[in-house]
Amino acid sequence: MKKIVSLFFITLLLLTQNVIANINCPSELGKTAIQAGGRIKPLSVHAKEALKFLTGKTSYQDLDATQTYCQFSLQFLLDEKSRFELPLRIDNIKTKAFLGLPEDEHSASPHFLITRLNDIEDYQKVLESRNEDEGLQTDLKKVAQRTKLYFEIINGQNWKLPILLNAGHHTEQDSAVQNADSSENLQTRWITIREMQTLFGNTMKDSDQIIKAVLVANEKYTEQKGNQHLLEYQYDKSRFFQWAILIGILSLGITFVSKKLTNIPLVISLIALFSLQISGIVYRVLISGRAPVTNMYETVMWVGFGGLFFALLLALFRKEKLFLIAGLIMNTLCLFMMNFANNMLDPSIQPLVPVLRDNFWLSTHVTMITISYAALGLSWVLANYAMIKSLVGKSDKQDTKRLQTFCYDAIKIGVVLLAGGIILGGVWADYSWGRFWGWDPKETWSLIALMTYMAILHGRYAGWINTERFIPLVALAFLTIIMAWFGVNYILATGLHSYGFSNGGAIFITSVVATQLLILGLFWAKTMKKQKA
Amino acid sequence: MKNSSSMWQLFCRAKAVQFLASLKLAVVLILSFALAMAWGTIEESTHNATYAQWKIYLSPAFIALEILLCLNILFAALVRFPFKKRLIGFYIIHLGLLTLFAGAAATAIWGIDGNLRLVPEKPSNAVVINEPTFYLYFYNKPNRPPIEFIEPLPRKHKEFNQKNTPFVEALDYDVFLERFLPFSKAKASWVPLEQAEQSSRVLNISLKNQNFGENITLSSFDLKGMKKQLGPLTTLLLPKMNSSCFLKAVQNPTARYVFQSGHTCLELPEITEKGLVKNSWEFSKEKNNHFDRISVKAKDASPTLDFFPNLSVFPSQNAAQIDLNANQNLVDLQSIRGKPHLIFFRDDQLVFGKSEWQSQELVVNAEQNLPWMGLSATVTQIIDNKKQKLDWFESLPSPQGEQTHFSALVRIQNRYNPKDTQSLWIDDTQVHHITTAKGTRLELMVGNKLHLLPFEFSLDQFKMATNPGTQDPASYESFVTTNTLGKKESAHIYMNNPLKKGGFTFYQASYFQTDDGQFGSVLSVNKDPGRVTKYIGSLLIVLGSAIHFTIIPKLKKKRAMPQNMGNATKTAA
Repeated sequence: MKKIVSLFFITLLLLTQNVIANINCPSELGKTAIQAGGRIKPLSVHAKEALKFLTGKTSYQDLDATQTYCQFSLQFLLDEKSRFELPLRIDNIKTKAFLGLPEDEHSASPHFLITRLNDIEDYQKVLESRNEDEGLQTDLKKVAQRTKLYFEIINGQNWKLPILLNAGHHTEQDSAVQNADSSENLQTRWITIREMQTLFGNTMKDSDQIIKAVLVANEKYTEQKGNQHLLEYQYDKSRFFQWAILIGILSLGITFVSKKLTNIPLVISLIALFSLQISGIVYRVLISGRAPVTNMYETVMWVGFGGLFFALLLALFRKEKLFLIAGLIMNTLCLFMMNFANNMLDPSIQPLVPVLRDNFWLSTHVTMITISYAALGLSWVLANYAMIKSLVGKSDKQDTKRLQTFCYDAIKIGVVLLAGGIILGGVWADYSWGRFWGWDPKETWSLIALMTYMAILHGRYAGWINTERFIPLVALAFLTIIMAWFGVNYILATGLHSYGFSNGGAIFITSVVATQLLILGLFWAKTMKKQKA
Repeated sequence: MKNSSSMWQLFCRAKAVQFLASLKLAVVLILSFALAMAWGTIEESTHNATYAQWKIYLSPAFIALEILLCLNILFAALVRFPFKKRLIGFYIIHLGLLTLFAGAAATAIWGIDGNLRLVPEKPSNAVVINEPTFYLYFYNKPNRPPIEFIEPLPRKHKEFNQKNTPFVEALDYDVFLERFLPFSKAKASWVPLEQAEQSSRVLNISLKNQNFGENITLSSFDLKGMKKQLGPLTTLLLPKMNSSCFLKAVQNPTARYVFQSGHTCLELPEITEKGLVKNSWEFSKEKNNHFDRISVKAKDASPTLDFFPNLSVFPSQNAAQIDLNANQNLVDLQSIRGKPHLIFFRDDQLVFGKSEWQSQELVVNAEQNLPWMGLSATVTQIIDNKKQKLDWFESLPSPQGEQTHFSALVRIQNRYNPKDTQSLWIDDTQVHHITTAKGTRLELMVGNKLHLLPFEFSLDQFKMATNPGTQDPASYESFVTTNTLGKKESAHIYMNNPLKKGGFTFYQASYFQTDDGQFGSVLSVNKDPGRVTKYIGSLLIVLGSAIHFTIIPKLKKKRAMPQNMGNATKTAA
């Protein structure tokens, strides 16, 4: 029986593959403005984010995200028979069990899910009232959101396009919108394509007419309001951070083989690497209008860039390419996280939560704290570099001592910035929450990290920590930064700083800590062996 | 001059001073401090913020650690005098740290940090501070204000035998506080009702489907016990009544019905004037605190029944009283429709419904299938005419579990007659009223400390703006009016824009929705006499570190770099 059912589904899939793309969606639609998630974006970006949320992928069959979004948004024009459906992603095994789906099924039909939507929502509320199984709750909420979003899209209610109205025509709703975001102008009114079709019922019977109307509306909108949203289109298309990975690895290779810092290929590749990342960061700042440190993705971006920046400064100052190697390793690690850890780091640009809406403090406190992570991260990479070098047996005492001085250089910068950042955080907290210090986990862990580095610095002064101990301790100390940076959000998951919280980071932290402990263990074993000999 | 400098050297060489100033002590203290904080954050994520604060950050041991650290910082700087140019950054950092700690101490001792909960049209000046406090009021003489005793309580479980009533000749009773539990839950046991009390019923119900199981207890003692929520499902225990009439009422959204305990069920006519007479009933209507109050009286002189028809289908004096101050009243016919409800009536009927309703007979231990999420309900136990006695036991809070409460065991003893003694548990959910054998009335409670402001706040409007096109909040704003002895001023408080008034600062902290749909606002209230000191300390630290790490290395380059700053002591000597 099961076989027959699955055969049926496979045939259905084959059939739908042939039917899709029955609406002609031109790629220039990607550049049009759409209002979604509280912001004005280019359609291509919204489509990508929506499709990624619905299916986990950014394309569907041989269509890109914009075409898929357009195809599905105009489904309401088609008669029942020629419609097709997008299977929606389901991750959690318990959700599958609740819905009666087999465990190896990774998606479900939206038309099946809509029949169970009430059950899904009720079950989530029951779990919520019993404070039970937060993971399942989150997944149930997501499945419900996906189902609703899907039907919103296929009913033409998700695609909001700008219509320009004369200033006299506001309703109360408009002024509410205007209050919420001062950049929003009264004259723009965002309506769904479904509303538009109803308004101009007779002239818009087929998809071509609607698409044409969308393009015309967008043209009028950009004439009046400019095309700020195209920045995000360019940012999305340019893939700065994907290119940066390639150039980063290339630069690392060149640095290893080149003897001088003024080596021409090295200078060129570094210029390329810096330009790519600076462009990426500048685009994000211009698009969002705020410091690029409002979520995990952006802090990783900023720390990776900061690490490279400090490394270059120190490398030039000390005339020492080791800094640059460490900086490039750190930069590449961050770029890898940004590109391949999207379950943990969300690259989309979203409106700020109310507590962060203060550009001055955001730009000073958060930037300073994260840039201190960059400097301390550099010391961490240097320490690990030293340990691994000694493990593979390619380092002498002179070398280790040199590396120790370099770690110390980076720590000095990092500690001052961290202390300054914590204090600025205290001042901001005093200003917006009414207390300088409240033992919130994020602030407490940043202080723990500072204390750990202070203990190492004082121990070094006291003569307790010699070169051989200093390096592993510096590596170990960075784990407190990992805890303050990621652990509080992904492991402790409580506290006032909850705006940066997301799922899926616990595995990452565990593997970083485990790798670090492994290196430390091996290094320690080797040192003990040496001492015995 | 020479004498004083050798005195200084003697001081610096003293063993205690050397120990307190040592770098090794510094390393040990800094590491202990870091470890204690890490422990605190773990306590916070396994329990809650208050628990972590009380157990770690505000504990005597942690404060002792901070004091030791301060001493270490102080002595480390002292033994490095007389002044040396290369240590200037070091001096400034250490001075800054001491200043910062001094500011923090001032905040901890003289500061106020609490919350002010505001609901529209209910002015308040009571700031709730998270410090357990024992409240006791003696109504010794009728028509006289009570004699009050307010005592701070410790932040941890404590057994003691503390008399809370000083000897006042007019008082015949002493009140002893025997045990205080800052984190506790109640365990209920059943004791027979006393004769004067009304009859009661308690139902234990087991609800389950393939995904979960839950036991619910409904009791007829008060509104809270009569209504329990399981996600969107509401379970109710209602008085004896004609359930078929109830079904008619919920299925017919336009008509309004009046129910009386027993079997009276009549459709309510639209009353526009006072004293309408219809058939054998007299109706009258008046407005009472925004609610329609309808009085119904049978012509044959039976007692008058009062109804609040928009709130409840039951007369207000019967069994469950309508409490106009309560956030939500028992049954709101408007809200019943469209949401799953499981209703038990005292006349052994149960009704389940959402959009359609069905009625069944209530049988103990018989499983009833409900047409909602595959749920089945079984009444496992019926306890009639017994009341609940609460005994409190220590239970640490957890982020997943139910809320914990303050509770305390108190003993009330007649000074002149030790036999006249009673012991009872009090908690923070209500004020406990006790009348002694001699007729003295007492009110007891454990709760948070209250600080009364010299001016009153009233919330005019709470506004939450959303991001365009979404339901996500973009800002929270409170429009308030302050009233200082009749002088009124308006203020607008929102995120990152606090109000400063009378030495206090008021911040937009949070909001909540009352059950009748109104938005209330929570302001965080702060008075911080250590603020300026802390800011100066912070500045000194930043300045000192900058000097220490930038200027000093340049100076050092000129000399030989000292390996070990601990040697500085010896050089000084």
